[in-house]
Amino acid sequence: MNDELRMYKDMIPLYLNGRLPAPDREALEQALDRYEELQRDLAELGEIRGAYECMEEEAPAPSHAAFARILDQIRESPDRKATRPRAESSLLSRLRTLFVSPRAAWALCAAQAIVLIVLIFGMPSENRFYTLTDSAIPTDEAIRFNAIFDEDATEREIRSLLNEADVTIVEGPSPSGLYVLEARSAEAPERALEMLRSSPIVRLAERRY
Amino acid sequence: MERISSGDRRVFETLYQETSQRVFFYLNRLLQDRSTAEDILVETFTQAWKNAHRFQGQSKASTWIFGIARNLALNELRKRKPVEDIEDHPELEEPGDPLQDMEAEDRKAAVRDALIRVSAKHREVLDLVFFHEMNYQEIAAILDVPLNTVKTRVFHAKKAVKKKLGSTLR
Repeated sequence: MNDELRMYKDMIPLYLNGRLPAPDREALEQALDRYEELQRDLAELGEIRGAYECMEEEAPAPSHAAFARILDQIRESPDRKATRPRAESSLLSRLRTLFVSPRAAWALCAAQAIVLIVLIFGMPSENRFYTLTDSAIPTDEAIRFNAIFDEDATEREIRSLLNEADVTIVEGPSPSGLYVLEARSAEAPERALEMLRSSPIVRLAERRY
Repeated sequence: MERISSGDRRVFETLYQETSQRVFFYLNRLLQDRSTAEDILVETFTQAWKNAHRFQGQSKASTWIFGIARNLALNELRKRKPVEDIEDHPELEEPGDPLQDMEAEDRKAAVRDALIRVSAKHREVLDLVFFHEMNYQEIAAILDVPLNTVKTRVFHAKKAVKKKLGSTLR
């Protein structure tokens, strides 16, 4: 059998099942006119193909219980837990791939360098830190007082006094009942201190340095 | 398969719905026993779930699943009869009846009968070509044999069917 005939013979099953590419189909159809042996093979394999025609309709299907059994096995299997690490390892392997790529690694280095430069040169010249609760006074300039309230003072009385004196509790109470208060405004600390001292519910009030 | 490997059961169920009937047909033809075929089907998809992360995408997911099904089916055949192999089914060698005068439908039935009586190896390759409509690359991946072996096996299978029919095919 020559190579050409062998090649066309091999095409016949795919010609019959529809998987032969179009150019090969045309070549085979032309070759069928030249080779009787090809025609014979086509007829024989065509008859076998024909026997499969109704099989799909008659093919038995698995029972509905089959998938439930699969799910049961998946749940019962100790290997099931292995799927999470697999997912994690997949993420890790992606990250690894990212860092293995020279282009991605250089891009990451450049981005880091830019962030560092912005942080270093973009910082204010004075190292000032501000509290989140009170932006009016810088922390290093805050005016604070130590205060001890009367044991019988109610929360309502204390709250009213603090609002009137324009101060807020920033620390305490300590085991001995000491609170650290901070003036909300730096304008009249002496007035705030005076108000605290003159209140009947305050046992102690003094400036904290 | 990537989504299945990360635990997506809905995708897994979709894959099952799309492929299970064909895989079941394949197993049933190979094993010639519906109950065992269903057991192997369950095992096949359980293995597919567990090993989804090993799927490398070099073939279609269905081809990969057929490969798993085939390996499990071969293990089952080996269990049944230690020396039995898909390559060798001597009990299926008896000749069939002449067909010259048969009507077309009878002839078709006779060919189908012959397909049952040829060796599992021959039936399998014909099933993959004509029922599952796969190309040679896909079949070679499932059978784990070279491409040329698939091509040759199809023609040997045709010859075996002819022999079972006891006459020439049309």
